[in-house]
Amino acid sequence: MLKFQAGRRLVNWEKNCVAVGLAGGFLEPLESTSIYLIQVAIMQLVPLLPGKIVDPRLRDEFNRLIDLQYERIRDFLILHYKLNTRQDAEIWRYAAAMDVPESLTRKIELFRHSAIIERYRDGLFPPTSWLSVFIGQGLIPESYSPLADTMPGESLISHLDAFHADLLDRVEEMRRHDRFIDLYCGAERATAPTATEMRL
Amino acid sequence: VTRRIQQVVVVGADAPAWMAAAALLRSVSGAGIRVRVVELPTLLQPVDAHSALPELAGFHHRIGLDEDLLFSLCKAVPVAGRRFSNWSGAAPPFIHGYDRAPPPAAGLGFTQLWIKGRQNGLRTDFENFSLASVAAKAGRVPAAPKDAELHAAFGYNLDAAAYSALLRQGTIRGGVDSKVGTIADVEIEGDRIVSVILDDGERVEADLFVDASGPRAALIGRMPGADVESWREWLPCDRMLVASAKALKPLPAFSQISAFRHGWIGLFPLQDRTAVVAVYDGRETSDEALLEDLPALAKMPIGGDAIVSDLSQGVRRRAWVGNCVAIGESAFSLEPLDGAQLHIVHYCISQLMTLFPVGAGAFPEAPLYDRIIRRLAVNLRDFQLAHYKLNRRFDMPFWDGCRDAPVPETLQRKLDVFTARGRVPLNDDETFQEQDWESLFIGHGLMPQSYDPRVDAIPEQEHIAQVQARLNDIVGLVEAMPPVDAFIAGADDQRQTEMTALG
Repeated sequence: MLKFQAGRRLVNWEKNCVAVGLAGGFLEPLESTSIYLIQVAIMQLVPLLPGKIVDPRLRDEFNRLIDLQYERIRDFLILHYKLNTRQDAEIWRYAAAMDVPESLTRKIELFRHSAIIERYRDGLFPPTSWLSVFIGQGLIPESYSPLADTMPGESLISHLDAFHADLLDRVEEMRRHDRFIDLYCGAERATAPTATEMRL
Repeated sequence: VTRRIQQVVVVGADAPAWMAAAALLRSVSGAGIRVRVVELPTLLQPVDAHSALPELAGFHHRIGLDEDLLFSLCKAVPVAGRRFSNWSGAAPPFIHGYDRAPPPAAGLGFTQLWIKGRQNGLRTDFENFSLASVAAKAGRVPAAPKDAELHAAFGYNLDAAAYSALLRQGTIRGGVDSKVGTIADVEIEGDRIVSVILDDGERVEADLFVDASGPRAALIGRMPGADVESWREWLPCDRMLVASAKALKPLPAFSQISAFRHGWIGLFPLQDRTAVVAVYDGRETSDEALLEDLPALAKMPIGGDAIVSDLSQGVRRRAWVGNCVAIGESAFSLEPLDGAQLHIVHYCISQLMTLFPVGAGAFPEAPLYDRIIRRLAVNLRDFQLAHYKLNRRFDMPFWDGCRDAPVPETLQRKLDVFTARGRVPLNDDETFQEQDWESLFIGHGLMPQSYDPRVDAIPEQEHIAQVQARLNDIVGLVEAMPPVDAFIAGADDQRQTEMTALG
């Protein structure tokens, strides 16, 4: 059993100490972001590693980038709660009614309006991820871009059908999950992967 | 449920109005939305030219414009970049070349290898590792083979009136209704334009008005909350002179931007002439004095056709108010230092298409458009401001002032991170990418103090080999590029052949 408080440190790099992963912040594993946050901290840190003296310009840039990552993941996680429609427990009723950061409110409202998703450069989840959770949580846009009207109704349907058929074809070509595991990392492997296999 | 948009009216003139109309025609007229243009009097003079970034090709593709027409009808000259001279004391000029993001070297950004090389005595200047800059210096047009790892593109110097006429013709032929007029009044209720009343008494109504009137801001300028936030404190130039001089022979593959005591002079090669632009601080010199100095500054005789106008730089607090959307200079304006004018128009139009309003009653798309356009504006302002901030023209009050004045936090961060480590923290909605900022900063003499520590893991021999390979690749690619005159002749031939084929 683990008790946690969601959040991040006000600064992740202070003096000669850099927090990576859980030392810098905790977000519940709802979208498997914990390892990503370790990874992105390392990837941002390495090119900014200081020399003998910590350069505050590099430190500030690292902190800015990490903060952006946390904030965008935070909004994405909150989205799941905010859009829930469960009535069976107080926590869900509270979550649906709670105030959320303004950055998220405007995202929800624009999507509700006509499926507009604002893009960003620095952040893990691309528009496709946002789309998936918006729709998956039942937020169906009230309208759509007039540009979609440039395609006549029947050809729009056949276009979407063709798109769907193409997806099915591509999925058919993919390996079955268990087969993939056997080939890639099957448990019968007696030995741990070598350093070369791990590209160390 | 609000009524859907049925009628869009573009109010404006010249390239911005016709670019907007052409894009609307392509994108929304198929949805049954009517597009109309109210064509205001032109702001163009015969001397006017556009200098555009390579990204304009994307717009031409979108509206289906055959680019050969630019070379046969619009006096166009392809340019691989801009050469900046006299910005830094005795330092040699540098070229900001229009490179695409270069591939890594030994798994790292090439610039990081160059920084270390430089610290260890590498003499070769940074611009020699820019495909576009080397092409520009060699008078070649970067039309590199598609399979090359290094890519560059060319921008366009265009006769402004001919370009506008070309877009106008295509758009009207495509079925856009247009009417020539001037605005007598704009009827506004709350934050909505009810109608635009023309001088002949016609009331023009629409669900959506696009203000493409340039600095006049004929519509957005009357809307509540859309006042201008001035950038004068950072960008002090307030006068612009446009003139022309003889055509350069052979045609160079770059435009030239030279700083002088009170501002800068731009020379933009066209097929039939050289467009000359001077941007300066009117508190420092008079128009008459400048005109007198101009031939010496431009190092060529100047025609008697000079036109001087006011220049005010800044961004509207809101670019989309109610049913009025401002594009291009109606939304924000900057001096033409880096050739972004048509790009701004293009970017605004693209955003308008992405956020094209669903209903004619309310416009929840507007705040997002405002945020995006403001980010675009701030990023571009910072790029232009960096030229001034990094100048090394000492003991001249104008330039000392530009160098000493604090810059906005957004630019300071870029300067700080670049100085510390040779990296450029990019924002959302950047026109210029990492390679552009690097070229700008290093060209103006800002040398990073350290480099990515992973560079030290590259053995010295491999480091040298990587640097040498990059130089060789560039030389090889540039040799295969056509000279400017041959490129233009080729585009023209292509056109002739097509015309003949059409009978």
